[in-house]
Amino acid sequence: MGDACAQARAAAAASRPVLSVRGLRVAYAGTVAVDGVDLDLARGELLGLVGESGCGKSSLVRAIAGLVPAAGGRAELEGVELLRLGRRAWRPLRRRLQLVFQDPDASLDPRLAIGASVAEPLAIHRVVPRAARPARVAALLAQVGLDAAFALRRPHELSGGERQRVALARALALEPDVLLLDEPVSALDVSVQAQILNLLADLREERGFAALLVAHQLAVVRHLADRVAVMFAGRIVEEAPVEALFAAPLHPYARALLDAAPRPRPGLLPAPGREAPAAASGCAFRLRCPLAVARCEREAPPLAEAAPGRRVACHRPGEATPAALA
Amino acid sequence: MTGRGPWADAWARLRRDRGALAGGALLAAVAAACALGPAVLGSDPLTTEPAARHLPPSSAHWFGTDALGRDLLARVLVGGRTSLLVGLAATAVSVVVGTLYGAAAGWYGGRVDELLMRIVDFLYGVPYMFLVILVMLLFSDTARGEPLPVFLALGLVQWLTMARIVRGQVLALREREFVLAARAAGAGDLRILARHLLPNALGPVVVYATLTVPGVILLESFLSFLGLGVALSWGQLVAEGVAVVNPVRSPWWLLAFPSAFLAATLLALNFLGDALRDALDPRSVP
Amino acid sequence: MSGALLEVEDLAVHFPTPEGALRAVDGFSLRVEPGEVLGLVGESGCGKSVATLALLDLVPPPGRRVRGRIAFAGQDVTAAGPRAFRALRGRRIALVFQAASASLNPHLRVGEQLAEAARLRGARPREAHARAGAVLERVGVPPAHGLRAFPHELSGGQRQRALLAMALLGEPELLVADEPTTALDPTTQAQVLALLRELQRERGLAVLLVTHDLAVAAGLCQRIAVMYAGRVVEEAPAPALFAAPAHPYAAALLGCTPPLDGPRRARLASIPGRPARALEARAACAFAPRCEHARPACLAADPPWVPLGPGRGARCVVAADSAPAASGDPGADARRGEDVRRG
Repeated sequence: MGDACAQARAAAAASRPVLSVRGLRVAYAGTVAVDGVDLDLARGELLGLVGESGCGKSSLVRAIAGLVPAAGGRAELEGVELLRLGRRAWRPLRRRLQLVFQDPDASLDPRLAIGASVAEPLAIHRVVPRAARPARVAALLAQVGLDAAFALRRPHELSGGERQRVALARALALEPDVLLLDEPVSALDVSVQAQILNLLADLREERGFAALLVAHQLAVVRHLADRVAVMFAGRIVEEAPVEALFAAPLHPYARALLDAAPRPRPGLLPAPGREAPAAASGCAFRLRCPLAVARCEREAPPLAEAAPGRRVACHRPGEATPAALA
Repeated sequence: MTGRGPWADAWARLRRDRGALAGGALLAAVAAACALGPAVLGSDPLTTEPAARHLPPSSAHWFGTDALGRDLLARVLVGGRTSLLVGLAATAVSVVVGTLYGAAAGWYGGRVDELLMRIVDFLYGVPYMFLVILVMLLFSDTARGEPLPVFLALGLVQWLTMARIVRGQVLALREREFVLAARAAGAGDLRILARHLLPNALGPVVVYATLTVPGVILLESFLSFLGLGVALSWGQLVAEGVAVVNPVRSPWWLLAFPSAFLAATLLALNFLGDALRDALDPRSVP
Repeated sequence: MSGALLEVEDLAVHFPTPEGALRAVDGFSLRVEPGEVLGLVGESGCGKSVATLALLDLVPPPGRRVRGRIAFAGQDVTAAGPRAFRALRGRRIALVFQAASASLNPHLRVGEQLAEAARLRGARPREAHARAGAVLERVGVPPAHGLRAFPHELSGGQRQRALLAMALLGEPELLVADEPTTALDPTTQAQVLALLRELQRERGLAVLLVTHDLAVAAGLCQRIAVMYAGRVVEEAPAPALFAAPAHPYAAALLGCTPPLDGPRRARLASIPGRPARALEARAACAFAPRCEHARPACLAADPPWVPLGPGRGARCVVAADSAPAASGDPGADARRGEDVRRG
């Protein structure tokens, strides 16, 4: 009897999302960067978050990690509410949630040796006694494909790709359950990008962490993600399993992003979209949307389920086909 | 490529800079002379010998003698000890006070920063002579001409700019991603400040400190000139030299030697400071 | 030679370093026909930016051009000297950088900067303002806003367009765009590329698009030249390059790019090691250490340029195996001769 209960509890825990966000809002000096975002990240899943610069994806990630104050909403990491935690309360949670930043140049302390940077989380949380740290650092570096000798080098001696590997090693030092990656390959060359993407895929397989991957290149997201959320003007406008989204996006903005992404089809360029700011009332996308109608100005569409596992915030989902937009 | 930290890198660049080498060598020579010279040469700055007043440079007195027959060489060397010590001590005071203050202002930001910086602005407006005289008066009964009140006063004036520099550095570095990464790893404020911010902010601080030393020495000289300085220092000696009417035909050595030492030291320090600034700048060509 | 608009032969640019001369550009040859869009693709450090600067003799000291011939519209500019280069700059050849760089003065209104550029090209002061407005309109920035705005008041896409507008004022025959879309969002990027295409069509403008993104080049360019370690390693019409790249580096670059259409791949091809930096004179293929097809011949000598068909060639011994056999067609010989001469 007790066994069955334990099993049921375990099953319930396994199906519960490891990270759950509801109505998250982030505002800086009057501008709203994130305007009510809901999302769930299941255990071991990789959720891709795409959108243009200024859409709020970086702010979202930093707010979840407690680096930036949130103006409202909730975020739960395995049931623990994150947004109103003080510095001290955050500490134990750091071991479960880690972050990788975009700019490999800026994310490593230029004065510290690589080994010291990677060992820092271990030192802060006293995970490993001091004597054992070098060995642990060597193991972490090996995991990201770097020779142990790298521990003695400084960031400026490494290439962008190598620095990003170090950032990954550091993020994985505490063996987190959730990894937040903010544009981890945007600043890298194509061949280096490929190396890092392969590395990420391998690490996911070995370690089984869940990840939220923010990127503006759709191809990158398509390669790694299980599910994709599209963000515009601080809100999620569409969310779907990756293949479903790329095969047939329902929201006009998702469609526009997909069409705009450069691909080897020489001579074929999409018709340029209208350049307009996000609208302040109704649907934020309506000033750029070829399908906008009066209703879009009156009411902002909620993010609602359009098909099993797919949500869209649009009054006319699915009508943004190439034929309709031509 | 072996691991060479930014400090080692800077040191290597510094060694190659000719200005730094010349300045460093000169400084070392002057300091050695001041520290060891009087003992080695057996000369005494204080013994007066009325019969030997205003003697020009000779084999007995390399730099000549002053109005009271005191050996000028000994006085210059011993006075140098004072000047250099005052320079270093006052700079040390300004670095410590300025760094702590500026780091606090830069890190906490907001109201704290505003308050702290308003105080700095206010103190900037107070003429430093006024401050110095105030401090001197506070100590007047303990000792006039003692070094302590002077370098306290001088240090208290110099820390203001140091605080601004450190604050600026901390403000700029605070938002850099490696600091965010440290916070994301769970680092507390103290750890971030001590391990990440200050080491990276030290570059400009070191440079400014090197350039502060000559400034302080000069200030002290000025004070001595006005009669408010330490008993025996280069500034004091220059003042004595100038006081002699028509130093060109009269004892020119009383003015020449102390001034030469003062000028040489200041020049050396400035060369060093410039070279340090270039060496510590990661963007300059190696 | 045929009436190519721009011809570069064996260009080399060296930078002195404590460890020896860095050969940023080393045996670079290129040809742009009038009105065509040519893509120059390479990763960071391959020398493409230095090469574009060298086209207008703008390489910053201590770098300098050590050899090579540049001809524009039949005139040998390198022989003619600095004056000839100056005459080309901003007039017949326009160079455009990323909008994120300091190409626009942040303290001056955009309209003023455009008007100044117009005046430098001979417009009278009255006309200059009008021309500035006209060219802004052409690139899709509303003049009412654009002329009066400061650069930071424009969006990234608008800034890039303003830079294009400035380039157009000189009525150039060749537009060299160095990473024009890198800092931009996907939708803005598409708009800028579409604009380039329109300008090319309506004005017969030749465009040399320099980028590290193969996909961007594919969307716009008719021909693509792939650059590695200071020189072109493959050149082909865009569809042919994407269908069947001949040089292993080009093939590897394609393999590295995650696909947007078609099946998802479990792993991306990746190129081991770091991009080469040429410090000594070449005695072997620069890519050989990282190449999975490398053979002893690759390390023995600098591989020659191998023509692979009309308008196609690669600097690779392995690619030579797939070169078409000699035919009896004299036309083919002449074309091949042309290609060989370019090597």
